[in-house]
Amino acid sequence: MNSLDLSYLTFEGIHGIEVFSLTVDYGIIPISFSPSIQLLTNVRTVRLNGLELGDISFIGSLTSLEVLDLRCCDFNELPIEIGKLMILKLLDLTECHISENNYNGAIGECSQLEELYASACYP
Amino acid sequence: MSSSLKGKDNTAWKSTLAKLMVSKASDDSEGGESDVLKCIKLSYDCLQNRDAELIFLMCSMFPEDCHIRIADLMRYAIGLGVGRTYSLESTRSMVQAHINKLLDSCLLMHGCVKMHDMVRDTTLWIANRSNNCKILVTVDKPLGIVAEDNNIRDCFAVSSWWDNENPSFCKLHAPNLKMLLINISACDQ
Repeated sequence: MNSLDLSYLTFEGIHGIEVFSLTVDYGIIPISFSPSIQLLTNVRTVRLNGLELGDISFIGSLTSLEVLDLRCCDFNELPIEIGKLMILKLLDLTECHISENNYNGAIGECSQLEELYASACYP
Repeated sequence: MSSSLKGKDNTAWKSTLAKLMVSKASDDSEGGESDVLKCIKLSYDCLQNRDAELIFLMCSMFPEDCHIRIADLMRYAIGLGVGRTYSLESTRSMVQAHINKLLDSCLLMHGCVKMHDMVRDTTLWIANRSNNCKILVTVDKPLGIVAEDNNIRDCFAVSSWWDNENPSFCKLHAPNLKMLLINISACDQ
């Protein structure tokens, strides 16, 4: 599979979800989410594994997030918007590839963060 | 079933016996549920803890014979509100305690954890007869076809597994949905 088109999976009709998990068991495949993913303001656990995500600034809209599990993902950078996740408790970046090496320090704003996993995570 | 009553006092044994008699009587009159189903249902009813029930129901969303990582269960459980006001460390202990209880009750099997096929079928049976815990598990089935099924409107949780087909998604309308799991292990055919 060259890429995963999720543009038809829109979130308007399921904006109350509290857990969203999308995992790929082989390789890392590019994905494009519908912008409506930003409607998931009740979601407390997001697990995205094995995906090439590009820009992940949409996570800044998911303001109820407590667990963000991005194991084995590629993305551009940890966006400044991550600082809006005031109740984030767990961030898992194990085996992530972050393409832009410009640490912005926004993660320091996540005052409730209790656990950060980042083994084999490289810029 | 007796494992789920381990350590409980006389009254718990007596009340479970009464429930078993009632379910046996209704079974005799309706010709419905099997003994196995009744035992699993009673073990489930004996849990009497919302978080343990949620974790148990969540396990039925995984495919048959799936080894379910406890760490993943914990992360999903947090999403459903388990241990909200506690630290992660405390929540982890709570989830482990509930899983130990499920293992003691033979509702789960050791490994990572596993659910026996028969327990899984019964769990989905229980979930889909409840008012607010309906679960839909699909394998290699386009979500478009699934969504046409009106039941999805009432679903609490949907899992979509792609083992042999390329995934196909669509707009979903499920106002009561709390949990959506999608797993793709299919490569290009």
